[in-house]
Amino acid sequence: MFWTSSRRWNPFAEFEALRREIDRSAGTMTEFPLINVWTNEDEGMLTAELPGIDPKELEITVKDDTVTLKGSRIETELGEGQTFLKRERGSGQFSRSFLLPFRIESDKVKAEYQRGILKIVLPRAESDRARRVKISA
Amino acid sequence: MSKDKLVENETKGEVSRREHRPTVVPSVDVAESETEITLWADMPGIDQENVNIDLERNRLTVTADCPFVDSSGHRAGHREYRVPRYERSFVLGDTIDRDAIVASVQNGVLKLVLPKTAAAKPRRIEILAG
Repeated sequence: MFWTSSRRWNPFAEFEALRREIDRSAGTMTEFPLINVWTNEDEGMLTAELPGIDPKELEITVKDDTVTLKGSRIETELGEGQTFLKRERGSGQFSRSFLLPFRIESDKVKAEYQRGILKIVLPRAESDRARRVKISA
Repeated sequence: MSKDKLVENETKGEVSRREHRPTVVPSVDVAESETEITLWADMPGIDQENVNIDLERNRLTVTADCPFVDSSGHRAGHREYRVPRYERSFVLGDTIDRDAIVASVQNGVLKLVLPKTAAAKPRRIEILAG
């Protein structure tokens, strides 16, 4: 997944968003998990929809400007005497990477998992921040 | 459903539209045993207090408004999902003991346990020796 500047108009983004919305309501999701990303001058914030995951099974890796989520979702375990009437919830392994518009300070990345939503705060690397350059007279 | 309730729901619908909350039909797994039906629904972002379970005649409706994420001080950069309202209805058979339905939420997954009525459970008939 590549970063597209919000300042530039991307005609395909609208179609993509519509396609995801349709997939989501039809239950034919191709990407998992779905990700939202916000940024400001100091950090990036990523949220991912990951219902019913054991957070210990999640692996988050950060390198330069890329964050990668890896994990697996186990299928519903049935008790004795239970049989499935309906099976729609997906299971299996997933992996998604996302490219931020800046390098990430990997030591300071924080992640929390609540209500089935993973939230990762990705601080911008010190070396990547804008610095005022003094002009020598 | 009483008239008041209906009006209340319509008002909620108005609010949802203003906040651009799309309605999402959650994916479910349903399992049956001799004594009960169990349902799991993927509803990321919700907790126990967000879920409404309404039972009207034999129609069980689950709705939940997902709380918004605090993104103040940030610009939206890339968006694949919008914070949704979940909604799905199920038709129950007469075999469900309506008063004994139990709901719980863990890690954004709603679990409903729907016990069968005593009459619907299979019963072993003792044969008297004679």
